[in-house]
Amino acid sequence: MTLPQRLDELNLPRRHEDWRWTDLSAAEAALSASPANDAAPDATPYLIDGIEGPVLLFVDGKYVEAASRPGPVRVEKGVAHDAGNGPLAEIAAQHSLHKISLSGSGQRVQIVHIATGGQAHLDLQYVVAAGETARVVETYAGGGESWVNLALSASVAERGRLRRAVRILQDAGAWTETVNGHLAADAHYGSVSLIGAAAAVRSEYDFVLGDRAHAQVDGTMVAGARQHFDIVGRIRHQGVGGSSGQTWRSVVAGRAQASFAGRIEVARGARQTDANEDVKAILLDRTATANAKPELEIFADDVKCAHGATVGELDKRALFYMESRGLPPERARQLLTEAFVADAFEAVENADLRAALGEDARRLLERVR
Amino acid sequence: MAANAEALALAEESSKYKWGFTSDVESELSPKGLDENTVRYISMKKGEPEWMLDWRLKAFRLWQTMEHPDWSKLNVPPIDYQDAYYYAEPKKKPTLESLDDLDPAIRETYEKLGIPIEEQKVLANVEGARKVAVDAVFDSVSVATTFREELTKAGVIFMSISEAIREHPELVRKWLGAVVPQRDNFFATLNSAVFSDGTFVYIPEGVRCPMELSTYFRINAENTGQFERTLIVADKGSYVSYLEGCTAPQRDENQLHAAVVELVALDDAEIKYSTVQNWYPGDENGMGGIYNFVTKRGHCRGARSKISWTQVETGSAVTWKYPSCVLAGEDSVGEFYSVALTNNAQQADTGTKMIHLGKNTRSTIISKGISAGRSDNTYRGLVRVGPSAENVRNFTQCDSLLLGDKCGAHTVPYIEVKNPSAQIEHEATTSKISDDQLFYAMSRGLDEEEAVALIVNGFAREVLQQLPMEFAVEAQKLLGISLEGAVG
Amino acid sequence: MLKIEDLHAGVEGTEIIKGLSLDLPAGEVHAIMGPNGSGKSTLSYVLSGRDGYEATAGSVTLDGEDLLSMEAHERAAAGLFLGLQYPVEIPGVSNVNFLRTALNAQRKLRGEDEISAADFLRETRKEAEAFDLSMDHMKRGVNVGFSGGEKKRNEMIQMAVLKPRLALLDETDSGLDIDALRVVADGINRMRSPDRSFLLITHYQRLLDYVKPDKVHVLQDGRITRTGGPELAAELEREGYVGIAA
Repeated sequence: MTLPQRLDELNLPRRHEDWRWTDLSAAEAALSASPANDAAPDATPYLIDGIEGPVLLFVDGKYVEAASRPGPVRVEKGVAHDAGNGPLAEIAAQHSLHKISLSGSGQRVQIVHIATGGQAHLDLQYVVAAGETARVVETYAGGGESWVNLALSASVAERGRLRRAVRILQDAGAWTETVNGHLAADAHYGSVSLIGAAAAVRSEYDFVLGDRAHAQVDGTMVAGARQHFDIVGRIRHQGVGGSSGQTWRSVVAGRAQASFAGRIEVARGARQTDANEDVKAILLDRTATANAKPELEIFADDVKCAHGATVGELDKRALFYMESRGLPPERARQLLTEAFVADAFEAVENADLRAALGEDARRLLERVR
Repeated sequence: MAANAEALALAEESSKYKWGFTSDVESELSPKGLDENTVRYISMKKGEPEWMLDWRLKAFRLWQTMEHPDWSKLNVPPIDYQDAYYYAEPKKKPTLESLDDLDPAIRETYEKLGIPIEEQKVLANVEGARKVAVDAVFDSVSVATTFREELTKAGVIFMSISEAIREHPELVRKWLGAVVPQRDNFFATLNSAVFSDGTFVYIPEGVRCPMELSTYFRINAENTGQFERTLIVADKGSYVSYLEGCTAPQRDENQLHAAVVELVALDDAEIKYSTVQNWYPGDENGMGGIYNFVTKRGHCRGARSKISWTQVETGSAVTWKYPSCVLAGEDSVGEFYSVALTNNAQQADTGTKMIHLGKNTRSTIISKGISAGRSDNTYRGLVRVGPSAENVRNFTQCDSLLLGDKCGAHTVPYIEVKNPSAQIEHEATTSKISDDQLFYAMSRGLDEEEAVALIVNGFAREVLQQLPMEFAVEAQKLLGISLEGAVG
Repeated sequence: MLKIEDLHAGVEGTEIIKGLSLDLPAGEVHAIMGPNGSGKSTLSYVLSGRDGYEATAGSVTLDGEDLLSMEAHERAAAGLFLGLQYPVEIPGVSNVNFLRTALNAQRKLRGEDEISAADFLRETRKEAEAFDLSMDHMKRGVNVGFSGGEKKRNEMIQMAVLKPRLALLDETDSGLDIDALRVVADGINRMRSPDRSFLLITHYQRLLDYVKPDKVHVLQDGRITRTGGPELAAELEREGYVGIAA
């Protein structure tokens, strides 16, 4: 397969349920665009204060070795392979310049990607061995007429732990990812995504959980103008006693659209599964759209599965209460909105990371107000 | 009618489906198969005016261009639309003053149907009995309508849709297809072409219908596709409660049921539509059950109008049904209360759509799904809020109960909101009957089946209490009966 | 301090307050008592500027300033405090953060400097202790997981830290056990001063056993129907609202 020049070459299954709310037309311009000549790229502005450890810098999909300290992360030449997870993952697997392999070193690795234009495909493989821990923070910056497309395969062996934070801060372009995760018995996976920039984002994830495995997939979407964000999630409980949580918050303004379609599947025999989905959206303007499809598919009887979804505006009673104590309406709304999105960061253990996400969210919220 | 007698004998042998029987009434069948001539035949047999035939033909031609729906969660073998009769009516078409004149075989059918006590009193002419008007659709033609006089006094029109086409063509022409357009979906289009009979109700301005209206649907003749058409129009400030109950005889072949129900509520009008659906679900392996593909939709056109759907779905091999509300009038209200129980090899895919278009519109969805045996039970619903619908409120609660580990429970809600003043809340849970609950109930003297029935009824209570009293009693029993064999 | 003249107000076009006048001088404590539905809550919401509660006629001034033309937060900065019957829960915003943001917003509007973090914390710790809430409570989300009594005590802490000139306490005594009631009453008594006034809105005289009002007004059907001294509260308790109807 050659690099696509037009969107329709991607053969996206637009009529498929999982593509119901997706619109990637923002990627169109990027397909024929070229990278801008950026003289000396620097990851520093995108690193999180207080987090030490390896740093890897990529610009338009290309590894910048001079500006990286890879530590235990291996960056090899990309090898085209069959991803088998839909058209987007397929393209990433075919066209990634590198294969980026992270293993469980315990260190918190920061990967920074700067987009300047054109298509950038990344093939990420996170493999955590039994009992080990891997932590990664991915920051996507830059903008222009770009399309960043990730295929991530995450596999966590028995009692392993993988922590992933994703910050999508690029100010234009399209960003897509296809995540496939396999969690062995007693494995833990936790991710938090902050989706606030780019014109279009589609994050598709699919996790298969073994006995007593736990997956926590959380995130926040802050959408304004004509931004178009989609989450298409699938968590498959196949073992006994597994648990999962998905907490998503979105704030939607302007003519933006934020959608969450998350499916929890409990296979036959996956007894004592405990799965939870908590999805809330706030609309700031009457031209904004929020969609939700919190789906359950249950084939075992001894399970606890629940989902809750709400769409609405800020709590008027809380607003009045705050104003009656002297907070100007704008400030009250701001505090409430920040508290609202912070729900999605609650599971983040590292205080520096949590603070950075909070700060990012504050900036993004300012942009849409 | 040797085949029918055989079937009857067979049915009586089988105690598992207590209402699986076939009345020995002679039927007149249309030729098997479906083409334009079938449509013309139906229209001719019913003595329909030209405009009605044209309407049917238009739908039929449209249907020929349509594709059979792609089932997302249902497993339905291909249906041969040519291998069915599209019209059957009892040969001795009765014109009755009272139910006493009814064909005794049909009377007997009513007995076996277990018509609610209050209505039995009505049928037995007990003085002071609570008034319920029954428009019995026996196979495809209405055979008896009671209480017509009293209804006429109130100005209420309650008759078979065939009669209404003849007697109130202006009303039928105005509203037929206004809520469910011909091209709405494959089955609605088919129904528009070949609907055999059904019910028409019109409640005039300001009238509170003096009694609950009730229609019993039965599929009787073998191989007869049943295409009911119901149209209820509640004019300004009126109120009507409509009960629909179904049972069907035992069969080996699958039968198609593709009804269309349209409700229209004008300013300040309220329609309460209750259904207990107990079509034959097939045997333990799903053989011979009914395919129930129904299009039900209500249109709250007027300000402050209200449409409330309540359904208890225990029957059919396959159910595909989404009673919906289009909330166009300001301050209008839509409600959907549903219990869907599946056992053995049954499949149910049911839910609702609440389309909020008007300001201050409110909707409530309470869905209780119970899966047992190897069945699959899906709630599929949509709550949509349009950009100019200010201050919309929706509350949705979807609970699933699984009995055993071979069944499936699925919840597929869609929420699409384009107005910031909306408040949409959706909650869903999945659970099983806990051993503690079972033990507690059994320690108080219930056997396991009774204990399960009790707990299931408790689970479904919020919905059952929406039903008119006599219906609620029947529905409770039905849940227990439908679960037989699901325990242990 | 507070002057209400011929106030007419209501919700969504329904008039609930029908010509209410009241004069509350500085340093005094007045109680407004009335049966359910007499307009007590509407009065407190109209005075504090809640959306949807509109004054249609009359005037309300606080030290000569027109209260009705102000937004809710401006009224707070002007020195009005509303103690709510059902304090709202705000998950994700800590009590400490909330109170400090509120205090500084008020000071800014009054042209004062922000309070230093140290001063603020010292003050808050002191008041939390006085009203028997731990700093652990204060670091949690506003009222989140608080019992009814804890919520009311939190209201008192906020009042003590914000130091309003006029405190409007709406059914602050409802839902309190006797110990909590004493704590609240002590707080009010401690804050009484010649330049601060209190308007206690209540159904029962319970609170008035502990906080002696200078005047008691009876609110019935949107009007003050009687005004008297503390003895009027006791009379109300004995005779009921019907008994004392003028």
